[in-house]
Amino acid sequence: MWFLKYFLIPLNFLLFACQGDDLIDVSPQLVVEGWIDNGGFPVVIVTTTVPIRKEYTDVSSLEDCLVRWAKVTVSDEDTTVVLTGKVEEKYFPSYIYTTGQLRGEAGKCYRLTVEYGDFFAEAETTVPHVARVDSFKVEPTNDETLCQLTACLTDDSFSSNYYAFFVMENASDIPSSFRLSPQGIFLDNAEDSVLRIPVYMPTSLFKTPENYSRYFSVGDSVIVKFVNMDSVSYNFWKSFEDIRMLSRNPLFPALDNMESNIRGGLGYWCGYGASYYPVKF
Amino acid sequence: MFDFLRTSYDLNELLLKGDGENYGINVMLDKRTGRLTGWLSYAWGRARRRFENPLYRKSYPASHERIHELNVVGTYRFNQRWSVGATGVFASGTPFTAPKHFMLINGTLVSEFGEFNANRLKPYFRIDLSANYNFSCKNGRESGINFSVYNATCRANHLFYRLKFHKGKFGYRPVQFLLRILPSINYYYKF
Repeated sequence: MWFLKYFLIPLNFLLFACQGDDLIDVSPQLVVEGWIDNGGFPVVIVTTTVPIRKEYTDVSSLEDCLVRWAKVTVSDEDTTVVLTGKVEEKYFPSYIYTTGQLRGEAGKCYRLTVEYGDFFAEAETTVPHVARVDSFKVEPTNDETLCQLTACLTDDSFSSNYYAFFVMENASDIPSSFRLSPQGIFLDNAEDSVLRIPVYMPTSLFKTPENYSRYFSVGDSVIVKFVNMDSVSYNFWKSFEDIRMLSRNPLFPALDNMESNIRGGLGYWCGYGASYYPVKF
Repeated sequence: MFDFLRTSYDLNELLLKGDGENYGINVMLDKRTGRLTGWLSYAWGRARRRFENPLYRKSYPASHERIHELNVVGTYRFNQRWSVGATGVFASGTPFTAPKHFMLINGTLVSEFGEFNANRLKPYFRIDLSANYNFSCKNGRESGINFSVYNATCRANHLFYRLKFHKGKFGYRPVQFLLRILPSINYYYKF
């Protein structure tokens, strides 16, 4: 009995009392998603971080993180514009801040500020020149109902060499905005100036693994957005892609958090030299 | 895989390199005579790691570190034919890196991680039970049949956590073995 009294019982308390699956409870932060295309209007989505929940929660509850009453301004060297909030169903969450009074111009620098309660976030970005795709090639896969899309482009020595492909589905049943194509961020440091880059269907919160394929289905209709960006924007999207690919992989878990050019918050403010291509499969 | 290799991904960037040290003590009690035999051991140990990466400047617990571990193994022999056995393992949970929160970026949920290996899984606990029936024991040769149950208490010991999506819902959920309890029957022949 002495063994039980003086060793096992205290040890049991030591083992089970000190530790649990402890998760950190931290205060929320501001998350800013903003971009301005060459020739396009600025678009900004403002949310707060989503607290960690162990129990299953409906995806639609993420709308609760949306910030609808922020003061969002974008300014270039000459003008400052306060963006207007409006409901836009194709985005998730379905609320954006935008304006029709300011368009992105190549070579210009744009400053973003977001004020909401005690939060103040700011960032700067530059809009580079437009980069274009020479052609797209649609090839069959082993599954005859699916197609592989490949973009062919010639590297322009005048551009910054930081590229990304975004894809928007023409879907009416789920929110569908431009999302980064898996492995669609790349740095052209190859000597060969002709590039062949596969473009894949992005994942979505509204797709289950059963109804998602990285290839495109016959009959699909999408718009591909090809962007040229600066190194800061590239670093953000590269870290986003790393996290997206690795954070759910127990063998190679993501080690670093996403980079951000937002001071006072998380997320990105990116300038794009963008070109758009509708593709029907 | 070729797509993975062809782009700018470098496997070396995904590995943390560094050094560290392990230290601890282990005490063991062993009973080898009588109907009841077995042993009991307790280990206290630390496994600390330091990395070359400038983002990881501190000393961190290794991902396999179990600070406390108690093992109890016992066998009780009723007669020449029948014996029963039990194994108990009680151990601290291993470290893991939990996110501080998620954020909605580009239409998907992304994790913002906290400090490396700053969290611990709940303590590990497992009891295995077994019963042996000896058919014969002649000329040093022995055969029999063994019935055993792995994790007899059906406890869900967590392996790690991950962000899971299920039927339009999401949650930061623990992952464990699909089969919590594993019964088995074995025939053994010793020669």
